[in-house]
Amino acid sequence: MNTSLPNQPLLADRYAESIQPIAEAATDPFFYTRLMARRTKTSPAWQVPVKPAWVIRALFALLLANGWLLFMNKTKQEPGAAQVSGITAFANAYDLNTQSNY
Amino acid sequence: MVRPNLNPRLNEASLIQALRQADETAFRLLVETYRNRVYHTVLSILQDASEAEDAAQEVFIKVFETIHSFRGDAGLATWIYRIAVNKALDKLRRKKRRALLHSLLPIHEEMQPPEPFYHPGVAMDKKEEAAALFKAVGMLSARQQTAFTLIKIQGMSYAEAAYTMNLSVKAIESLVSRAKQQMQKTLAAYETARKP
Repeated sequence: MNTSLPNQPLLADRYAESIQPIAEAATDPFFYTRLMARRTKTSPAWQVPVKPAWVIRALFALLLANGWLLFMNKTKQEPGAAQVSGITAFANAYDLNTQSNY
Repeated sequence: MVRPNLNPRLNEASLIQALRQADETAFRLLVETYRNRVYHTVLSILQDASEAEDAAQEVFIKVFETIHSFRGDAGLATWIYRIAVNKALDKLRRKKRRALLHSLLPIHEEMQPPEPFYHPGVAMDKKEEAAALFKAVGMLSARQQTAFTLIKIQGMSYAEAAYTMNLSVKAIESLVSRAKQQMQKTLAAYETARKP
């Protein structure tokens, strides 16, 4: 909402005009030296991504992997009937029954 | 947009070519040509000399690292200017987020009111008015602050500011208009306070 009177410039305009011209601010003479020191600073070959988005993605991937492993373990612990009969047949073939003690 | 005073022996195309070949002399020439303009721009937006120097350094590092992606659809100066403004905008957003977080946390004992910002390029007799203006600008959102600074303090055209901030001209007009409305109250309070 305009709080100024009609045909009167807003204070922001007036102030911005009144401080002109603004001379260009200058860096100090050692700017280039410091820049080069920073540029040549050795960075490690790899860095841990610390951005929150990457951390959340990594956690989500870890949770998914965890869930998948749990699911796989659960399915392995419940062998099907065919598998049981296969193991029994193998035990019978090689006489590995617990009853065959001599 | 102001054209850079490039070394006449090395025009813009050959400077870009040399930068792409990681030529250190070309990089030095680039820094010497644009450092004050980049620093002036980021300083006006960030209102902090040390943060502005930090941002200016990051701008030149980014220019050196990404010169291969420079397509040349805008001039080199405009491209550097765009990187500088976006770098300053990023830093400003982070600064405002930090300030907001700090105000929300129950730890207030070390909070100091911000120091007034005195722009080194403003004439001595206008320092106080400029400080009041920069204080009012500093209370705006990061995008409003950047748009207002580019247009009203740096003297950029709406089209140039739109390109630099990657927004439409209408969006820039709207940002500046809302910025001016919001600053009205702060500046009116300053006017009232300084009246004898």
